[in-house]
Amino acid sequence: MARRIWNVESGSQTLEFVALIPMVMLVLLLMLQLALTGYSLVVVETSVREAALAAAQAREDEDPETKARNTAIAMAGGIKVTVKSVECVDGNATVTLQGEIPNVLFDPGLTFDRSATMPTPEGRCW
Amino acid sequence: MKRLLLRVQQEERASTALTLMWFMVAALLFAIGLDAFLGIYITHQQLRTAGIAAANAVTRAITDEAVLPPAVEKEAARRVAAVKDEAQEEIDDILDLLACDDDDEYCVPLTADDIKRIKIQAYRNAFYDLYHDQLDRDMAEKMVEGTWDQEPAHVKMNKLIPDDGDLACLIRDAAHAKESFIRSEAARLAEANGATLERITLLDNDGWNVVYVSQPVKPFGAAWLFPNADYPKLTVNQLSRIRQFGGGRTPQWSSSC
Repeated sequence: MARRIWNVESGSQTLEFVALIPMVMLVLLLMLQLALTGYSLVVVETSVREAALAAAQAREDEDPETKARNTAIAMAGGIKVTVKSVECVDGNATVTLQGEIPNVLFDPGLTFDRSATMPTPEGRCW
Repeated sequence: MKRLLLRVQQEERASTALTLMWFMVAALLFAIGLDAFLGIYITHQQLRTAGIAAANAVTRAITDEAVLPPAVEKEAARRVAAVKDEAQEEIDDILDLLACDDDDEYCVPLTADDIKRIKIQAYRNAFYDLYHDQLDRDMAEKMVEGTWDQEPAHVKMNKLIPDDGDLACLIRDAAHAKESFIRSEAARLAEANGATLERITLLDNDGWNVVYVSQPVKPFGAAWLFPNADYPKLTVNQLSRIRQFGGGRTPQWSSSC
């Protein structure tokens, strides 16, 4: 009986496909996750750079934190970013953003922090 | 052995699995390539941030209180001394010409205001002869009164160094004289953004500063590839330029100074 089943080839391709498709899907999801991670890192890097520049160049009548937040959100595209801190020490403005990597497998996504420091034009803090 | 190989070749079972396995191997290779690409690209983006910060720091350092104002003060003092020296002969000649002889009872002696006016005009003439530009009347008056050096640096810069080409040369000289200070400021900002300052080129013929910053490229899994932590380094350059400062002065950059 077992020998007969072993020798029958009909349906073997379907069986193989069903057995392997979860692995294929997993590989595809991991690749998608890798691409999303890279995209998030690049977008948050650009956002934090522009936010730090905006904060550093804020005029006296502007709130640097609001300026940094607005710039970061405008630059972030579809990536969720949160301004964690905006500070100025020794004439250099530092903005720290928390970015969220969209996760295709779990919710919520992973978060990471990224900071950028830019010199204020006059070397003075707000 | 030959029969076994023949049988394996003719075996049709597991062909789908084999195809899918090949697909996964290809996907894995693609993922490794994507990981390397993203590692380089993200490092490049981080270096751009560090480069912009360092380049802005260079621009700020040049116009900083420690670099440009002292150079302006020095150049202003040199120019005032040169103008006074150049004008002295003209002043002496005019004063001699207008001086009253003791026996000339109709001669009206020069008042202090007259002498001041003569000096002001002589200073302005001398300034034009030396620097081919107009000396501001208020500044000439302050030179006569001896109060010109109490003016702030930006006023001295605007009134005693009115030519934008001269200003560009002054900035360039001042920057080169204080290169180590400027370099340390740029290095500080590069390090604050996680990069290392490699080198800077200050104020070329077109007034551009160029900073070079570097950072090791560490994609996911790089520690396994480089166990001795000798990661490849990526270097990015960034330009910055002083366009307008000190109340609307625009340095005219050129190769001739």
